[in-house]
Amino acid sequence: MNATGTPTVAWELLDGGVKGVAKKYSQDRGTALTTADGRAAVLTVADGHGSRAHFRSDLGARWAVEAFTSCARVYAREVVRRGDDAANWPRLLAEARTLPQQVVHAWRRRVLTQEANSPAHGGHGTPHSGTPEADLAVYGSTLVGAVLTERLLICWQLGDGDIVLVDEDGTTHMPFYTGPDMGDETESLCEPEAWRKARLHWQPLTGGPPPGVLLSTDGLSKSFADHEGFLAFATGVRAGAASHGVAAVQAQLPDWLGHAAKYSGDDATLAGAFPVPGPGAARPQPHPHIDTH
Amino acid sequence: MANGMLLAGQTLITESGDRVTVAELFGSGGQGEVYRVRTPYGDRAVKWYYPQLADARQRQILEGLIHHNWNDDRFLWPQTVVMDPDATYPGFGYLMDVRPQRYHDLPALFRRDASVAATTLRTLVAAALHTVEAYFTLHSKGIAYRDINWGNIFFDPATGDVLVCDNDNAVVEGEAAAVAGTMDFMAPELVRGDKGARPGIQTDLHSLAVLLFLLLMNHHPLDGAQALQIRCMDEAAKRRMYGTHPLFIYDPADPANRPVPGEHPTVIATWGALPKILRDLFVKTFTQGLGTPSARVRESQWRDALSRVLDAITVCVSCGRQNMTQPEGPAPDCWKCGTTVQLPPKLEVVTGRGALRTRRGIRLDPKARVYAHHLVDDPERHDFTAVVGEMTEHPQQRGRFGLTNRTTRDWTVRRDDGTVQEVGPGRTVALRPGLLLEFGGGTEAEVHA
Repeated sequence: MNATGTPTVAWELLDGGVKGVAKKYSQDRGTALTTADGRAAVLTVADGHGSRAHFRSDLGARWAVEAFTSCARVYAREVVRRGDDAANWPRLLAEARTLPQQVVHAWRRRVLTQEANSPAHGGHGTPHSGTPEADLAVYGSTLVGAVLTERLLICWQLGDGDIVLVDEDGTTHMPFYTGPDMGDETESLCEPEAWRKARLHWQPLTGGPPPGVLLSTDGLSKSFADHEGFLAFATGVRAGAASHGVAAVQAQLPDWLGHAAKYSGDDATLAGAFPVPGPGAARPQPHPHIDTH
Repeated sequence: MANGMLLAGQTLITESGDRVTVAELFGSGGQGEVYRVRTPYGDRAVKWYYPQLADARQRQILEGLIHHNWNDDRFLWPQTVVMDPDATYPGFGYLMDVRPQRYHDLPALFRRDASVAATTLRTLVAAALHTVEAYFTLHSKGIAYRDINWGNIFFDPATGDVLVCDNDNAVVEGEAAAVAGTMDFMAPELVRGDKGARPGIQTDLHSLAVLLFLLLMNHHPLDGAQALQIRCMDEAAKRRMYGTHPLFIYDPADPANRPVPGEHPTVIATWGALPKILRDLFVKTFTQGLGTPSARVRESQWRDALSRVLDAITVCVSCGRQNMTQPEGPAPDCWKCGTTVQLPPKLEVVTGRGALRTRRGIRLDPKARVYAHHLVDDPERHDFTAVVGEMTEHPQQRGRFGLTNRTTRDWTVRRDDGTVQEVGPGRTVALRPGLLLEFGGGTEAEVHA
């Protein structure tokens, strides 16, 4: 923000998704939006587990995205309101730690409402437990989310999925990446007290916002032969946004994701944000030569 | 872009003129970033403050702490201020030791991370005890920490050792200091901003109790049914929850904030397995202590209770899990398998003289040990490497245990038939009810069935 309180950074957003080849419908959801008068971006993707045991996981993923965006919007407004003063950062960090609990609670409430109206197992409890407890596993989903302002980047992750930060020179950084996945088991919103499993990445943007922040479900990263291929894709998305504009990338995104999904067979969903000069940014000096092609 | 304020390879300078080189970013926190740095004396860590927080007041606090020159292995204490010699990067930071890898943060415990899989009930209670002793030591030096929370305590899952980090908000008690810390750990009077309320040792006691509850119960003591009714957990909601209307989830007089089955299964289970001696302290500090700071449970009370609970931990013979048991209390049902825990014989150790005699009961399960702190009536610190006696199995008769003397002095054993025997270093005495053991220095012990 500049001295007049006008934001110097605005956000251009990207989001899209495709269903996996040979799947009837996608169990992924994702969204990218701005809030706080455009000063914060909220990104999220969710991946419903999709197998027979999780036959309502498309709903689970949808409600995961809704629950996250609802809670993250409130948090993002707080980050914008108080985040310019670094003295408030310890409290914002503490609030970030409690956000997963709110999200999980909101998700559970939505699932339990659905179960009250339309029980997944026809009102006879789970097939194995014999108790009237709702079978949350039917709705199981992962969740990856981020709040991004000019000063702070906060990311959360529960289960599979990827967050890639792309630098100006194309260097990538993945805050939660711990190496290749060794199986299909994933942490899930449907587990008891799932919020305990959520991981948090807190990053004051002391060097300015990353030029590209991309969140995706694991159907995208798994479609590449290796990790480097996935990172090259992320770098390419950011480079495309920088050179041709986010709108052009958005137009091409379904093709790119569809191409990728052919290899993984899984749904692939991506949400991204790119900083652009806001209304309070200093006007750039005209370049002596503008290359247009 | 986003990867930190300092660049790898950049040189910083300490107050004594040593040059240190920035190597890599460890991570970002609420007040600054922590880097690994290379120094003439080996690798160290530097916490570099965000520019807005690197003010004269923080510098003054930091220099006061460095002046203490405190060399306690439970604290990553600031060693010296560091600055950028070229003044390209405004502000300052401080040098400290690198946190050893055996220490893990509490979020890893809460999410049951594989890195803390070695944690047992025994090491968890030991970690709580060490945490209390660490802050007790700090407080006894007249220093208030001001920012006790789950982000600045690290523990070794294998031993329960703790390491207190981010000590740079600590101030001498009574010294004017701004409110520090986060609302969920802050004493209610500070959250409300009561006139005259200042962060100090008394408010630290509330934060310490919250931390202990989190450590042992894996849940926040005020986070129950009422929090689930809050649609938007904004600052106003938190002020109400932690400041104006705090209500302990197990307040015996008001059940309105009880944990909700399905939403809070962990705390329902852990509270159910907690011995009464600790429950009573939590109830006291989170009922009376919320409104009356002087009623808060003190470190010595926590220490004594945790120490007694640690000595009473018993392994369930049915499933092999450790159980906390009420000292002097009846056998509980195992938290894991539900079988009634079989309480083994107890070694009652008596120290001190006259009316000031202290009694401690050690359950003699096969892994029990007698430590040096058992032999003094008011131990300054519980050191679980200072083993005095150890339960060992008879080499020829499995299932028969005795207590082996791990000291360099003889023990004296008196049997109820009047016979007396010396037990030299490395020798083992068979344990039977009625056996009396003299450890020397006036400390004696008796075996009870």
